[in-house]
Amino acid sequence: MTTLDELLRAHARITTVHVEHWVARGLLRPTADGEAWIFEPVDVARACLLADLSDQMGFDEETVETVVGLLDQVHTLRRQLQHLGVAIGRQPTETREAIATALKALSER
Amino acid sequence: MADPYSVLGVSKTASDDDIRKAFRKLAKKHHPDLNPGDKAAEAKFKEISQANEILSDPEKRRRFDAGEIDASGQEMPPRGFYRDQAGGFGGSKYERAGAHEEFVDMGGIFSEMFGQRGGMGGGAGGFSFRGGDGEGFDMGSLPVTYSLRIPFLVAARGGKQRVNLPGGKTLDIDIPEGATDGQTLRLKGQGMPGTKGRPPGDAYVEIHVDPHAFFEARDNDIHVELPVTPTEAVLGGRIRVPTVGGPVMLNVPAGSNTGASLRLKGRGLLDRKSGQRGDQYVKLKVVMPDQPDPALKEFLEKWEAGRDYDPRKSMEQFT
Repeated sequence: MTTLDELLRAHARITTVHVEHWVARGLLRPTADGEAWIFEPVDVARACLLADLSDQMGFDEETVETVVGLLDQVHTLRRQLQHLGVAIGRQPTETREAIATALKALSER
Repeated sequence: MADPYSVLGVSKTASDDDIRKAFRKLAKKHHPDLNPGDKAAEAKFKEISQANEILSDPEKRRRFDAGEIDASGQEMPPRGFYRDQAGGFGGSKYERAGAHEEFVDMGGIFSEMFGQRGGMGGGAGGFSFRGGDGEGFDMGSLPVTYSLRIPFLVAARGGKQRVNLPGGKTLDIDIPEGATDGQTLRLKGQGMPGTKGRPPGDAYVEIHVDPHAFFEARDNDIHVELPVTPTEAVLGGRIRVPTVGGPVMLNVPAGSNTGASLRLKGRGLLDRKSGQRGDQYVKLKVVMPDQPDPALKEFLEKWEAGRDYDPRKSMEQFT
């Protein structure tokens, strides 16, 4: 768990202004601890991504929101697919093979 | 490493603006977070970041052009990407509800994903998906991320740390000497068990170092406040000082005072990158005995010079 100070110290290119802006726009959602913010590893990585998108790649605000929104959907789908894969993996061999055959048929259609 | 000009696809005479534009274009294409399923993106992105590191800095660019530095000298520190976190336990925080509604149409998703570009990987032995031109992500071997608190001295000295995993399993993790807060260790094959015949995925352990009662780490140096007796401060002497590697003897010069800082060279933390060890800084703090000794009291009553001595004199000019 990381505080705002620790986040800023570890990543010189991120400023308080950045973080406040991202939080205000709902792009970054640190956990509130009283008055302070606590950043989980996923929040820290997300702050770095937001910095990359806006500074390094020069996307404007609206584009950053669109890109991050799409990325969130991609990750949601990937997670759902992973769960599905695990669920299928727990099925008996016959069932798994039947699903594999059905998928193959669909992909060759 | 390849020539930074050819990595960014610019000429030797390119302007700063050309270089920035070329880098931005490539970064948008190859940033690992914009290619969540493509493992190779990370290496490519690192290459263009290194090239940009040299060419975007006029001084480094001049030195590279003059042959004073080569491209391989610009090693970038390893960094994590959002995609590594988004797939872990914390990632569900930013999930988008909208995607769930679509999910009922599974046939649509599968034909989207596997129809045109790739095919089903794996055979009867397991169940693995291949997404597009990236490396397939294996549904049977999931990486797992744990967070681990370790005592300060275990991080400083290295050693084994036993952890209890969910499911009753215990694991002895080798903590490297000089482990730092936020560092991630990879434990090969300790992730979730693979489905039928597949090896388990890797486990990632993010280390959180607990603070110590009196050692304070700043970068690779250790700072410690050391209580000394008035006798030791006035007369000097050799005293035992705790360090992260065990106690060492320190010479306190006669006439030392509270706030005096002494350095124990090479008694700090190991810097894993350079292999160098930091120092330990010892700040003295003169501490009186809890109960003043009658002889000391008697001495101070007779101590004429002590009455003229004013340690607060320098404060007067500020009040």
